[in-house]
Amino acid sequence: MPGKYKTAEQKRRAFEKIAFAHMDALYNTALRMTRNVLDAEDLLQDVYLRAFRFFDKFEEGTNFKAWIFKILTNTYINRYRQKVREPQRQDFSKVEFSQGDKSKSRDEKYETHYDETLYRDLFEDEIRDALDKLSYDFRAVVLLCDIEGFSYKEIADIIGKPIGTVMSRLSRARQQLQTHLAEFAKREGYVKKP
Amino acid sequence: MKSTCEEISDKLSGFVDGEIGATAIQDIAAHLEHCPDCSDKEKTQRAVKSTLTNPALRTATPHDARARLIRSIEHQPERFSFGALVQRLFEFQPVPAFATVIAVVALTGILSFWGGHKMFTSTTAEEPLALLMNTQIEGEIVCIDCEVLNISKTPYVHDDKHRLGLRCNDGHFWNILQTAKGSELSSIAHLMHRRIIVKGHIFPTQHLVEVTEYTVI
Repeated sequence: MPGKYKTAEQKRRAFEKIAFAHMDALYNTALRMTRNVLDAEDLLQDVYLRAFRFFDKFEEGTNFKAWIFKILTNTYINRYRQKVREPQRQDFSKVEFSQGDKSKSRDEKYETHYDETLYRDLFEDEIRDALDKLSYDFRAVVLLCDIEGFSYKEIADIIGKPIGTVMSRLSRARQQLQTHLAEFAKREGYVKKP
Repeated sequence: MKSTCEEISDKLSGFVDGEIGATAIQDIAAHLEHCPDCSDKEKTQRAVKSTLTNPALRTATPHDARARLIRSIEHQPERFSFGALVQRLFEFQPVPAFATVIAVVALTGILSFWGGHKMFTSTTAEEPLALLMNTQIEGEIVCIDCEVLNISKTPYVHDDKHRLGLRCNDGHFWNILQTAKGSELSSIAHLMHRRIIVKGHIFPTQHLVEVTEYTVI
C-alpha cells in the first residue's frame, strides 16, 4: 500500500471510521437526487467504493463531508443522470424573474406569501414531491444548502461552479419550490381562500 | 450603486443565508424597504428554508442497504491473487518486499514445526505478509456482517445473505474464501458459534482464509 497506510487493513479502518458517519446524509441526498430507492442504494454503494478507492488522495484534516459529497454529485452526473428520466424537464436558468406576476391581481398574489411558518404543516411527502419537481441543478443546491447545511463555498466546490452561480440557483430554486409548496398548501386547504 | 429587482432576486438567498458582504447587505436591505415584490421574495426564501428544516425529510439508510455497503467495503481491497500481491510488493517497496518474502518462508517453516499453534494472527497483522501456506487456525464460526455492524454500533438483524466467518481467540475476524470447501463451511447454518480448527492458507492483509480442511471441535 503506497502512501500513508501501511496495510490495506489500516486504510480500511481509517476510512470506515470517518466515512460511515455520513451514510445517512449521503443516502438521503442520493434518494432525492435519484428519486428512487433502488437507484439511491446503488448510487450510495458506488460512492462509497469510489471514495474508498481514492481515499489515499483525501488530505487528512480537510473537509471529508464535502469531499465525499463531491464524489456523490460527480458519480450521479456520470452514471445516473442520463439513465434516470427527469420528468418535467425545464431549463430553469432561462426562467426569468418577472417584476411581479402581472396575470394576477395584487390581492391574489399576496394570498400565498406570508410568514415563515406557512408551510410547516405540510407533510414531508409533499415537500419531497415539491423538491422532486425541481430540475437537478436546482435541487442539488437546495439539498446541499438547506438540508445538509453546506456553506456556499463548499457547495461551489462540490458542484464545480462559482459562488455566484450557487447563489442565483439557490434563490431561484427556493422561489420555484415556493410555487409548488403553495399549490399543495392551497389544495390541502392550509391557505384559506379570501 | 442601484440594483435592479432582477439582480436583487438572484442574491436573496445570499442575503437570507448571510453569505454576502456588508455592502451588498445594506444595498439589498435598502431596496427591500421600498419594494414589496422583492420583499415578498425575501420572505419566500426564509419560508422555504425553514420548511426544509423538517427533520422528517431525513431518511435513514435502510438496514439491509447499510449492511450490504459495509460488507462491500470489508471485502473491497484487492481481489485475492497471489501473483498480483507479490508483484505489487515488489513494485512499491522492492527491498522490504524481498525481506518479507524471506520472512514469510521462514515463518511458514517455523509455524509448520510449531504444528498449528494458534496465536500467530495478532503478531502478523501489522506486517504486510502476503500469504501463509498450510497453516492452521482455531476459532469460532460467527456472522461477520452482524459482528461488523455490532462494532460500528449499527442496529442489525441477521440475514441469510450475511457471510459467516471465523473469530479467532485473539479477537481477529477471518473471511472465508469462497472456494468449494469454503462455501461448504460457511453455508452450514448449524455450525454457527461452534469452534472449529481450520487448515489452509491465510492472507493476513486480506483477512481471508482459504480452507482446505476443517474439523469441528
